[in-house]
Amino acid sequence: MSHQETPFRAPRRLGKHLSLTALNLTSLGLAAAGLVLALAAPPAATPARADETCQSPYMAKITGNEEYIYVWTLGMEGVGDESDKLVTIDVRPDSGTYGKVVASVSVGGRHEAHHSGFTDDRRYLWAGGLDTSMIYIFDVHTNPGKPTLHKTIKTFVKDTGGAVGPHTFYALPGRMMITGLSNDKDHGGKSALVEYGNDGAFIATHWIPDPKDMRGADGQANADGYNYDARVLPRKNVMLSSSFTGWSNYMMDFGKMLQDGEAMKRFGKTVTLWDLHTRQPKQVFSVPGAPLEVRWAWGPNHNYAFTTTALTSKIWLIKEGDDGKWTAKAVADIGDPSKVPLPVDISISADDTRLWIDTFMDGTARLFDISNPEAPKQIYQKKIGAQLNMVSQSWDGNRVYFSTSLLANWDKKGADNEQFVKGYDWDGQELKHRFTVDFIKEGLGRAHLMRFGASSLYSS
Amino acid sequence: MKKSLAAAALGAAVLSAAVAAAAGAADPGLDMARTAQFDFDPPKAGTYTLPVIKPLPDGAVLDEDGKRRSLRALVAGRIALISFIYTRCSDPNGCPLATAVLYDIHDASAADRALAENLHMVSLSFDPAHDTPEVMAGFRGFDTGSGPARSEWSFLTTASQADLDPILADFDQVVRRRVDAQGKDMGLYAHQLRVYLVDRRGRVRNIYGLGFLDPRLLVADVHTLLAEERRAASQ
Repeated sequence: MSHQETPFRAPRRLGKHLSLTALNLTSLGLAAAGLVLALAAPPAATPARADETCQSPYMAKITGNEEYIYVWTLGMEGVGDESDKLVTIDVRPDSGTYGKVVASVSVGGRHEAHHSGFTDDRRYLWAGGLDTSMIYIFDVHTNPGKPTLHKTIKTFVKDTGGAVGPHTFYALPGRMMITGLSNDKDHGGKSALVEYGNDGAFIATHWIPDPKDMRGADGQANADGYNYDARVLPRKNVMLSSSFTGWSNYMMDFGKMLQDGEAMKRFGKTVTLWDLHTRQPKQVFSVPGAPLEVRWAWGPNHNYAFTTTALTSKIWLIKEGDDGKWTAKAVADIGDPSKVPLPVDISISADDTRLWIDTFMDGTARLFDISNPEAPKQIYQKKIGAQLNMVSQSWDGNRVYFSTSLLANWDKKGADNEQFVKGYDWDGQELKHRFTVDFIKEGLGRAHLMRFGASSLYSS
Repeated sequence: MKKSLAAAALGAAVLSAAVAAAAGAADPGLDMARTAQFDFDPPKAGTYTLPVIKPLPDGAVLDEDGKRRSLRALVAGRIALISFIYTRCSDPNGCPLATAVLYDIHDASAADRALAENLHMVSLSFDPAHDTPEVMAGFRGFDTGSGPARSEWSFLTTASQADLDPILADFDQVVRRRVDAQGKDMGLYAHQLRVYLVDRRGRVRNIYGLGFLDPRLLVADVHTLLAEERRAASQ
């Protein structure tokens, strides 16, 4: 049982409440009998069996095989309509179009499409553009095999008081937590966490603590104000945010940036611990080298999370000690850090024993044994392509999907600019290729974040 | 002299209640112990803010006597916790959980005057065909006329699906009727568990679902709204 599936918590004084009326007792009796029904045909809040492992714990879960992969795709000059689009790939095992693109909805223009995330009821998929700060909300429940554009938020910068580059979309009850990557003052890395209601209305901005405004957090010497990903552990009432770089860097040509000494100084070096309920930052940890994706362990007593640093190629463990204090420390190298393999997306297994890590530069998927979170060990690797960015695995770990694009101006050039989504089966020993969708040949663009869909979410 | 002593004692009691209310976390009626699902000490009330999420939706509801009421008018003037349920719910992570949490808060209000006087809880059914006013009155499960004062708790339903649908839509509360393999109605619903916190001015200030339904957090939020009101009144 993971923290994703909060078990029934009896009222703190249940005995008192059981002195109810006959009708109420009947109702409770029905509820007890209904448990069997629930196991036979799980309603929304029951354990997942085949969902992604990096989703918000508040979200409705796929309880069977994922049916569709929604790929938030960057428009690419000279490819198709050259616009950002949401691409739907059919992954129903018995489908005649398995491994094929079955739908595509273009939003018009290029906005630096990057990440996306479902609302907690999973009816809508929010997707952001890092360049223009546009947010596109797709209806994925009316026809899960053919999403449609439902709403567009064009006022992110104005709403938030200057945050730029909506990145992570993380579902909380009735609302969306969004990380900004930059700001409209200097287009650097100082940014904020932002909340919108599921209806698309702005709620609040929470700026990342920086040395000039720590907002009550400890760790002033570490603070940089930068932001990237956000993930929560509600059981401990904590949230972590990580740090990348601002608009001036993520929109710059990668080769040019590497030669720009000043630009290379403008990368995040922090992870921030927050009080989840109050949204107050509590502590800023020093995690140098641009810590990107954050993944909490799932185990009911596993009070820790992992992140990886893009520039220094390390796995970091953020963990609560027996004394209740949280710490961050590097626990393993990823490949040879001196060669800068550039670790990007990561995916933790549902049993907390495995961590997939993609390294962009060598196009390689690496699997780490994290059974001992203090000492991860690489146990497998496979070259997937010339470049590799995102990885998503099914809840049971049997299926793993990969995509290629990092950022439009950071992707490789020429023949190495492969753009694909590849699906594999994982048998515990070997990745076995199932399908490839070539996003250039298909006239789609640069394949970035993948999210799972299923019609079973919206039927009985 | 006796009168002034009595007045002083009363004043001290009021002050004590006010202090307890302001502290929130110190409410004597609420079990403040950590649990496996909520393994943390809750934040102190009044030390944080709750942003405005949206206006409280309105709609026609039926009270336990079958009287047609406006939901917004019913809770006007008090802080409200509104929970969408149906009495036949079989999901232990669903309606029974939300109702259990409200029971905890209702119990706590007996020892927390600020809660008793300022909080109005609502359990609103989304199964009007089964959950008639009579069923909701029976579902209440406690006597409203005895014991110390507690927060008011209304058990509401609607006259029809037509009255219910716009309320669900405005709250963004997802409810789906479940059918079996033969398409037969199972009398059950798949639904997104939601409880809404509404301030005295009729604005939604928090939304709780699985993982957040810790009565300590809900009570801290109610006291945070009360502290906000005190600050506003003193300015």
